[in-house]
Amino acid sequence: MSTAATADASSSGDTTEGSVRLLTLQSEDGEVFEVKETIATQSVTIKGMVDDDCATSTIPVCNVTGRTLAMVIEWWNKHEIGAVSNEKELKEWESQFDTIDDKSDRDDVYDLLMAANYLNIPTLLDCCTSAVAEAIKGKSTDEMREFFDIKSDFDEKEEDALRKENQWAFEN
Amino acid sequence: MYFQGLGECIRGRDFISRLPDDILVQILSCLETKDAVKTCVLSSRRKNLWTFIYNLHFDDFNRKHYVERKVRKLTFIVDIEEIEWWVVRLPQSILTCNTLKELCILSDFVFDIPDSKMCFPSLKLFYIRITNPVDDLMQKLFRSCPVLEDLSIHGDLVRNEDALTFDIMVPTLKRLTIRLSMNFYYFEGVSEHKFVVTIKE
Repeated sequence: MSTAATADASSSGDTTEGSVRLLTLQSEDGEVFEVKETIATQSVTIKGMVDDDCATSTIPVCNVTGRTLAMVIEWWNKHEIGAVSNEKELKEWESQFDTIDDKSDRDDVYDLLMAANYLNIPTLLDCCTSAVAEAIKGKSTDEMREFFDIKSDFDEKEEDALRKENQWAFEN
Repeated sequence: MYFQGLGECIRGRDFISRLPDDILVQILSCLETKDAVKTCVLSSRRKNLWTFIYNLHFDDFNRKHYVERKVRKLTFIVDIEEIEWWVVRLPQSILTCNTLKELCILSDFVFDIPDSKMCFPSLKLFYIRITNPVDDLMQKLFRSCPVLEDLSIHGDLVRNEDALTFDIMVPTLKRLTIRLSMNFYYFEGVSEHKFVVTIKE
């Protein structure tokens, strides 16, 4: 996966490229990215920092690794307002999440979801959560349990009581 | 729909069990409410999680059942727009619900507004989409919302031949959106729709 914009760690503070201000973001594991302010403010958290004038030096993005941050920045670039987002290209990029089966890659979805939550990026969070919802839609509770490997900690009586209390949801 | 088909890569305990409750609630909120409620039997952690969902979404609308539930969260969506001829009869309990702050009704609906009483005690945002509304209801409904701030009326009145009167008397109103599409074959009828807006009593 390509990194949208990488700078060496020594350059901190805000710089400008043309008239567009650049912000410096530093991931949990020390990777440094320079991102246009107009793009990074898709994050409500970062927008708040910019509005409060707290974005003048390197912004530490704790809890998010460089690998994930690069994905987030790619998302921002592809969803920048006014950017000519080519539907096909977007699909191609997103399709990488359709085919993950390798254990090490599989955390990408989780990491992206957590980063979207931490950085408060509503569009990315919405897309991720609705995709997860899509995957569990229409499953019976047994299928959900099997799919997510959830062991019930209710005894039979408790479960029956719950089913009864919410009977309408279990009817067809 | 983004990330479509990520299905297999979220299989297994280490995905869903590590997610914090607020994200799980957001995921449940994307589901049809029925599916969200069903998750209550999965495990004790999930027993009450669905009650925090902020969208109620009934695709197979069945009023008899959901009236029995408390609407605890703010947004309430009835979305059965694909069945165009369907008229939703909303349960009277919605009228007195103290927690209901946002109500979106995306298809024609009826309920009985009592003449004397104020309804919707907490409703701030009201969004309706109508195709063939009951005139009497349109006259009464918007006089009955004591704290309403944001009202949107979206009307697709192409097949509506009767003249309607919308009587909007909401002292607290801050925002009013009216968007109508009409059929110009019935232009004479169209011109007779009437909006009466009173923002101060």
